[in-house]
Amino acid sequence: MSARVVIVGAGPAGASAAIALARCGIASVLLDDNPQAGGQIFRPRSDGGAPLIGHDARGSALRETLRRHAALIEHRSGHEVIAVYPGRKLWVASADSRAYELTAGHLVLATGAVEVSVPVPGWTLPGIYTLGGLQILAKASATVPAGRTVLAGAGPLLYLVAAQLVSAGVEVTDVVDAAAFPTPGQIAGMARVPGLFLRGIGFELTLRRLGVAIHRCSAIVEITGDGTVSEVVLAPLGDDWRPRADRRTRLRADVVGMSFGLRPNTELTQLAGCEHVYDATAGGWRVHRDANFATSVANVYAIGDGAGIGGVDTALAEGTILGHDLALRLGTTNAVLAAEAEEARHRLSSFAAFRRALVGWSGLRPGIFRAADSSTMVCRCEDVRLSDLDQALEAGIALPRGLKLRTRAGMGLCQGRTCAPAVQHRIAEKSGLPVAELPMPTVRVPLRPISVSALAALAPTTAAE
Amino acid sequence: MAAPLFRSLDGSSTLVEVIVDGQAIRLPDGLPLAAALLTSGVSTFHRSVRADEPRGPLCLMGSCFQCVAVVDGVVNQRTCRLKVRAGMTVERRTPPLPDEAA
Repeated sequence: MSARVVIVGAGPAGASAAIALARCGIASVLLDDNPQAGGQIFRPRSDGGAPLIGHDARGSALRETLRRHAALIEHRSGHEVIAVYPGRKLWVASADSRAYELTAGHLVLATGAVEVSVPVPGWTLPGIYTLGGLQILAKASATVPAGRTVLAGAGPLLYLVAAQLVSAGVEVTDVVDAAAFPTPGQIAGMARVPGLFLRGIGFELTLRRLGVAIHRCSAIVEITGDGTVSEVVLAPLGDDWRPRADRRTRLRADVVGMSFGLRPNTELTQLAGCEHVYDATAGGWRVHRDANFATSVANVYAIGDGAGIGGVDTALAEGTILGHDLALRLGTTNAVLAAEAEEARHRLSSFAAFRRALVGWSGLRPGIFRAADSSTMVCRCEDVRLSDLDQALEAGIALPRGLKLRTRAGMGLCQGRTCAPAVQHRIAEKSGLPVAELPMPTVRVPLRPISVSALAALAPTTAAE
Repeated sequence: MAAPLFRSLDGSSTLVEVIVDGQAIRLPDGLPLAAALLTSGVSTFHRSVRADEPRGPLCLMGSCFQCVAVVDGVVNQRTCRLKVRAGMTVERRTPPLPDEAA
């Protein structure tokens, strides 16, 4: 199978690109691993019920617009891309565990973000979820924590999830923020997008009004319990977020939400052979692209959080701009859309200023990875402890790939999506090199487990490559 | 099973029977399986491959594979991506190694 334009990811970036193309009369195939369009940010109730938490009217509007353009946008939900080969050839696994090949004339990658987890002693106990995970349970399944809940990490998602859960009646007792209160300069930068800035202040006021304790410059450095979580240990953090040994306190908790911001999901841009750069403001490794969102590989484009964390407004703007540019390149346009795309370009610069200030305030600092002790599981899938990594590093293995082969860290079911930041920071710590100067962690096909029978159904010519 | 760590904000769902480790429990039809299990008091979804530790969902978005269980006899199924159906079977054991399964 082939298609003139294939877009991967039906979140705000990918869906906006598909809609912009359709408004110029250009058809696309829109692949998405979720049951409904909208990405994580606009995730609706999975059963079609009325949203009880985190409702955003832009999400339902986006889904409605996609449906209106159904003649041109072929939206395939529940389809995961598991491999990318030269010539923009994709392997796709559908929800019913079948696999097929799809070649794209133009390939738009809008794969979104992955949350950054930081291993601490006890973090593998059941009862600990990422902040985004708790939000997804609430938004998609109307399911919320039933007991005492402590939320920890850094960044806007911490306050958003806390405010949403506490407003839904969840007993959120404490919010533990690694970041300090923002500086006047950071506040001025974030105020460049007044709507988002005021929303953030609103979350904090909600938490204070409802009696939630907010701990700044602090982190959960240990979690204990018998079978599930029962207590967390808080520690104050030093300048680079290194936990301090003094003034530790214990809190009772039944449910813990913890994550430290987002990083771009680069699996597909890596498999496509695109160049990447390390960019702390964008959340770490991200694909290199020009001003028109083209990557280093011909006819492969990247937009939204998957190309560098920028948030939902940036993703919507980039989708519209790229969809319009691509339509122009394919010989068509739409005057109304052209004006919208021009206007979206202007908005991007204030979003970028906001982003720089936001990262200055809450961007991950490497000292937080010192919370793990030698017996802490770093790679959950393969049960690799920090001491296993250290032994390999001390034996002279200095590169991410060698460490993976020696210890199996990152070789399990999740392919290293969860442990990659922690492994990278440990190599950096032990080698004395900054993370930016280490090789990027590699990815391997298939990106998700697939049955042999599904693989066998793929065209034999492809399977042989 | 222990007291559930999660509760549903929507009590209107139809319940259907699902077999978890050989025991019949009633879960909301059509809800993501991970969410349904969490509200019914299940917090451990499998045991880890080498250390044999209890593990449960982490990211709930299909990325981390910590919510995997054996569903309808198929190993390593992400329960956050499956919906509850009547008669489904869920086993929370460690997926067998290939030579054990043979």
